[in-house]
Amino acid sequence: MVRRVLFIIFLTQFLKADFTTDCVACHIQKRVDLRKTFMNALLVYGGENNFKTALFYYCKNPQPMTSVMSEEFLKKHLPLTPIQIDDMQLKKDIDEYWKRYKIKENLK
Amino acid sequence: MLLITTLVVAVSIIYYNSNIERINLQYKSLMQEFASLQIKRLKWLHNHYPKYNKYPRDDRYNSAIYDLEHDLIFSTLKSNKINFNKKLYFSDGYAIYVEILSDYYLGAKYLFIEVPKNGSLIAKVYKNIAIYGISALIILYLLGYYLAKLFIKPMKDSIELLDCFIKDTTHEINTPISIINSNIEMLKKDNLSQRDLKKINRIKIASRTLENIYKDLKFSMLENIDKATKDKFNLKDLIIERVEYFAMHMESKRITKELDLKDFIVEGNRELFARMVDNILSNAIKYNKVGGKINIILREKELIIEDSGVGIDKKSIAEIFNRYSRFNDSEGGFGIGLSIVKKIADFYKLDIKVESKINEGTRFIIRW
Repeated sequence: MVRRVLFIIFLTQFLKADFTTDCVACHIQKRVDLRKTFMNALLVYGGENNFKTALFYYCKNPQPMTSVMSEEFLKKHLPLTPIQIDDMQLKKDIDEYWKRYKIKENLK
Repeated sequence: MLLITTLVVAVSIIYYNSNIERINLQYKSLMQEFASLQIKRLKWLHNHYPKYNKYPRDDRYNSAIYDLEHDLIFSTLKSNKINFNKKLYFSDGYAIYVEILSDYYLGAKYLFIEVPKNGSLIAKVYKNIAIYGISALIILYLLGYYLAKLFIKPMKDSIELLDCFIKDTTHEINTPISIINSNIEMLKKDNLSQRDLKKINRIKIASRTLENIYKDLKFSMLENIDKATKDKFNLKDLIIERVEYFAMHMESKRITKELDLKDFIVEGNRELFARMVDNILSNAIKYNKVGGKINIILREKELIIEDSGVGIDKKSIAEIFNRYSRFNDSEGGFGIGLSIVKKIADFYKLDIKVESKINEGTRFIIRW
């Protein structure tokens, strides 16, 4: 019975893919500050749509040339590998990422 | 006058534009400093966000940031008008400067800096334009008036001289003309040979021409039209009389006449109307071709005198009624005949119209 319950919990966690599981976990593991990445991307891509489109493209085709991270970071993490998340989910994750730091609403 | 006004207005516009440019430069340089300061503050906030999220403010200016999709990120602007296409613009009493950022701090591409517009700067420009513009206008008008007077003086002097000469000679030619005319009438024509008779006729024509000139000069220089007596007469009779008077002139040029005259009773000075008809008629003879034609039509409230003469070009028609204006140098004269016609027509409020074609003839139409 206990084994069955544990299996169901594991299955629901696996099926419930979200920003935390898709992105945050890996960022923590690789010690890449999410805030810093966000602010670096914002500095280059500006507007919401442009930001989201650029980030989506980068996740699918990561290149040192298109990366917003420092040279030091890139040296450590080369080669960059494309993120294996389906497009719909990745878009949702990116929306979540934008909402987390949304500047328009937070500035006072 | 128009030239001077245009000149002053043009200079004022140039002065205004150059000052507006200077004021704009002043605004730009001040607001560029504010923009640099605001960018530094945005950079700091960008690096410390979201720990710090208070948008940087300054008492000296208001500001706003927009992203590259023209979406507002944050604004403290007072003016509602946002223009992404101008570097500097004015709205609702504010000067607004737009800086495009190369690094999108906080996602901002456009930084708007707003300061209250300094009305005294432009007011000073208007004040200067008013003071110096009006002063320049007055000075230039006075100068223009003085110069015009200086340039017109020789022309005015020569006209005055001509007037004096005509006035003086007019007094003197009446007696000789009367003597010539009366002596010609007294001559016993039966005793004269055909050849002498012809000569006498020529003298008579010349004398009548002279008499006509004398009458014109007398009217023009010495008579007061306002004091003219008022008669009631049939214009038809007057025209027949005047045509008879010029009959010899017409014969000398073999001019044929055609009269279509209806009775028309006119109220006015008979002598003045005679002057008017004489002058038109004498011109019709003078400028007619040898063997030409003169038609005179008189209807109720309309008199038409037309000739088959040399005609007047379109340009000259507008000037023919001016005093001393002569539209053809082929014949002699002072150029006062038609000015007399116009003066009389104006006095009696008659409408006078001239139609003419070169080498075809001229038509004078007088309407009551």
